[in-house]
Amino acid sequence: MDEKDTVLLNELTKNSRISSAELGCILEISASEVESRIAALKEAGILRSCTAVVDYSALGDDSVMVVLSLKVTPEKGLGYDGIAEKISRFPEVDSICLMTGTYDFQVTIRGKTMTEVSRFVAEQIASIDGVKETMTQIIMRTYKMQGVPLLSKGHRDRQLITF
Amino acid sequence: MRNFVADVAASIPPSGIRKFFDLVLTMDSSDVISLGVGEPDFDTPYAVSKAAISSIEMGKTMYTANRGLPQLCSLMSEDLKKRYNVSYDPASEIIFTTGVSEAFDVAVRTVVNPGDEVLVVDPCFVSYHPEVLLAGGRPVPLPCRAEDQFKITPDALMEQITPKSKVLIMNFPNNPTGGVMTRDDLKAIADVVIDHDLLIISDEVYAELTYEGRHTATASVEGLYERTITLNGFSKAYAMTGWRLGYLCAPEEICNAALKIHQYVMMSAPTASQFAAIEALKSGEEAKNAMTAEYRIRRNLFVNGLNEIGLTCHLPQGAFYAFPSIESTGLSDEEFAERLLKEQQVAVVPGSAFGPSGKGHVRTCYAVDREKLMTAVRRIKTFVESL
Repeated sequence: MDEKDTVLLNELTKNSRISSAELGCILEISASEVESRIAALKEAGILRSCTAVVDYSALGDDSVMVVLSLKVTPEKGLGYDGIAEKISRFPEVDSICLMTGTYDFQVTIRGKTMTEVSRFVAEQIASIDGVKETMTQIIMRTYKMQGVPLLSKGHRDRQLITF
Repeated sequence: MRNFVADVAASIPPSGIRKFFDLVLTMDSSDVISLGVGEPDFDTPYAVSKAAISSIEMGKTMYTANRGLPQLCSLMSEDLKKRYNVSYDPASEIIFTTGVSEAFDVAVRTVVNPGDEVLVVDPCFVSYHPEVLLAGGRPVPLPCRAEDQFKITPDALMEQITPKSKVLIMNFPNNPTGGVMTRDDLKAIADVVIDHDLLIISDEVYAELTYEGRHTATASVEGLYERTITLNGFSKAYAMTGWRLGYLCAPEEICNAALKIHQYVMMSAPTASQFAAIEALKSGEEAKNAMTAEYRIRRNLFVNGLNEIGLTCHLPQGAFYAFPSIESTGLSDEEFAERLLKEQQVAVVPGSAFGPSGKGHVRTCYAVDREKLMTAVRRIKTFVESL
């Protein structure tokens, strides 16, 4: 990892579709060096995936996203990892993190309807051995996601030409 | 009725590209991608804005000392020492002004006598010549050429010097060319400046937008401190153009003379802006570096795009302007800008607006988000191919 790798990761985070030629121009290196740096970052498990930021509300669908907080009893030998691994397997689960504070895990879940999400939490998550308590919060509106502001900015009245 | 307009005001030529300006005003701004604006496209870092808002809420809305808030003068002095290794005494060698524009006006009036010849880097920011004329001086363009990366060379300087030469006005990193003067470049002209007993007014407002290594302050070069007035400000580095805050630094004797003009003309720089500047100096480093890094990336993408189109452009080492030659198109810079605006809705500024050496070039500002910038490149390509 050097300074150029940091910029490379930063650029891919902002735009995963950016071409190697453009990255080369940005980093002042050749496109083939970009390719080999990306390969090395993948190999090292640093660059895991290049994804998209989607504003589902703009799509007009009624899908819901909830934040689920969980209190669990760590398993002998595995600690928190065993439960986390089980929860991670569900495709409905967008992210899961171990937290400090009152709850142990914070899980984000996406579902088509609230009914679907409720059923998923009650039937699939709450029933896992070791899960003691759940708290479900519905995300009402997302203003910024993965560093991308989702609100459009007002017009700033910039001059068209100045010296 | 008499003609009330004073001779000197009447004698100042209007901006050379009045016609082009008028045309720009007729355009629907929502269709136009403007590369014609000389300012950052970022918001002022929020902590900086917040400091000004708090100062207003706390009722700190009076005049400040003529020089500026003492705390700001001290922080500025430390910053200049740390960044450029120049020492200006906060109590006697720094004045905060209403933008670098005022600092420039004050500097010129502090040192130019009627009849003095003033060497002005060319191409240059449009206010330099009129300001010299207002002070009764005679501006003499000092040509900087693309093949020299738009630097001042000792030979070019020697060529323009006469017994009447008194002041050299320069601006590096340069608007409109993006050219810079490295320490070696400055050393090379220092001997000429000293031999001919010139004073330098050095507008360094783009100092922090230097892409290779660090900016060299003119006053930090051996033998130049005594004969330099340094001008700088917060507009470009911290995205604070609308705050109107600049500063002038000079050895005590010159600074005291400048202070007299500043106190009669302006009293003090805007107070809320001075509080904002304190915060910028304290916590703005990271935001500033992030903006500079982004400009550098845009520079690479944009200049690469221009060169691919066949508009040859040296890689600018500072500021946020690219200054491509458009001579290969067979059009004059004014025709190029006018037709590009009409036919492809991209606004650029004809190089002639910045002086005779700007002829055959256009100034393009890449302080525009990347998507727009690359769309502009595509439109310029379409335009050039249509010729």
